[in-house]
Amino acid sequence: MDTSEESQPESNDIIRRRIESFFRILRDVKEETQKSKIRGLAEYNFKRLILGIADSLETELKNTISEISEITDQTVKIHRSGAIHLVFEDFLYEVDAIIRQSQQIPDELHYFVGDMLSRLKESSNARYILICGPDLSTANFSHGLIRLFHIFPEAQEYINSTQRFLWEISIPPFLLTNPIDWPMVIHEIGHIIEDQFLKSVDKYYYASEILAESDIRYRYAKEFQADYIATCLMGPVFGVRVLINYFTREIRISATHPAWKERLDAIEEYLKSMMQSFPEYKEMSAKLPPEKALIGRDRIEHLPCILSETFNHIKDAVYQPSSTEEEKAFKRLIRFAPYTDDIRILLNVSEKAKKYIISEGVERELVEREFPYLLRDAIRMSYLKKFFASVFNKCS
Amino acid sequence: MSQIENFRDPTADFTFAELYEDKHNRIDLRNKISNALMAISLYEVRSRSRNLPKYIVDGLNLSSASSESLRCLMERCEKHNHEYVLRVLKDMLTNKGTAPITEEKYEKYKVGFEMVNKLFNAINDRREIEKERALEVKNFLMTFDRDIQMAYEKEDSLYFGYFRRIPARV
Repeated sequence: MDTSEESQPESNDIIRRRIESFFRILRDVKEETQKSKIRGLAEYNFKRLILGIADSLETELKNTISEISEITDQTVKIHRSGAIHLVFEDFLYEVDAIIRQSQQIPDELHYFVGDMLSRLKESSNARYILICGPDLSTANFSHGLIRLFHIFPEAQEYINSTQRFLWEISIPPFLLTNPIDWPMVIHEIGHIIEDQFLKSVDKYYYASEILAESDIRYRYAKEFQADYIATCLMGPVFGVRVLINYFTREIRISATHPAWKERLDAIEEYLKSMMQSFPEYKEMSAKLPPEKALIGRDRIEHLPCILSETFNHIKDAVYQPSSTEEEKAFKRLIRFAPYTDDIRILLNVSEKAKKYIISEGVERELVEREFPYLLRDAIRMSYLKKFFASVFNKCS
Repeated sequence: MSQIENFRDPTADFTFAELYEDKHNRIDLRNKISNALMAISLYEVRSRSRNLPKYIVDGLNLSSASSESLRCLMERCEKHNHEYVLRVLKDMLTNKGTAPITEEKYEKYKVGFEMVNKLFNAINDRREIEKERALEVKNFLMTFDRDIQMAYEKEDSLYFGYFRRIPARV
């Protein structure tokens, strides 16, 4: 770009107009956010956050235009305009992805996650948005925005003062259709419990961005802890789904995660300590191909302390199977009737019930197609039963 | 630095959440560079912008964190407080771990950040700054920002690629 003095007025005008164009974009974002329906309990939080940010950005853009008009260095003006463009590009991608992809999540999955969190006292305040995404992972949307808006201090302050934690849980499409896989989402809830409330791993390991051994220990400890939380809350069904998804290779694990075998070994140990068994793993563990993780579980020397602290935080919500209830759930499911007393029991017996129905001669294809709907109905009814319990009690 | 060198960079295998973290750390750093540039330019014209004090703090923090990170890289520190800029500098100096640190590149950044630090200390003390020095610092910061942009082009396209990979319908 010609930055000579003669071309400056014209260039200034272009830069100013370029920045002013973001006002219209902000108006569109506000309008779309207001009219959109975000599924789940965080709709109000999300809308308040985005609308508040948009208001702050309007003020900040006016301030930027005034700053730009003051400074004389043309290259700095162009650089600033480019920085604003980058920030807006990312912001728009993020907001759009949430608005569109939260629509793909079935209500029953929200009921399931809500039910699990409601069992944890402090953590029940966690605010999260479920979106359909390319893989199973969790990010703090608010924290991302705080860094994104570093050039707009007012927007940063707004996020810091109103919503420091708003979690975005990305769930791949193949995990959405069958509720039997939903316990895997509880692994992500495990990360939220740690990062927002517990902060146990931080006491022992050093988070680093340079991917040294200290960082790998930190990351692996968090993964083992999230598996532990999911196992404690869900019982054996979590390990079974991890195992099955491993063999179908539908879940990709990055190098920042421990090896599958070590995770499954750990899950088996957790279940043993809970007096529960994981026979599926015994049968299949020999078939696991050798895998090389960056470090072994034995190198995370403080893991037992971390898990012990984690247990103290979640102990009231640990899954305690009741053979009577499991029998009751099994008997209902094999008659293709929903079991609605406890979602965890429902999911823990569902695979056994499904296999039984098939063994009784019902066409496999029909069972595979309809059984997920039975589970979804059961989860919905279980939620309604809990939600309207007080009304039912009054009526009775 | 043996610990740092022992591990391959797993960025290519990152999940969406990990790419998200990485991308926002990078934007945060580049935003600080942009704020530092604004600080110098606004200070030069004696601006009364309400954000100027914050921009100055960003410039000061950026220069001291970068100088400290460069020292850490050479002295193989185990612990440090400036994680992301350290990672960026390490990536720049070693071509993302594929080459040993080159003296020439190291000197370029060392001298550059010392220059930035000196200028921001002067600004912070409300001293007069020389136009030539200010221009040199601005050029260095803009080059540093462009280096970051080029070094992480692949990560940026992976990040935005994830948004495009999100299915439209289930």
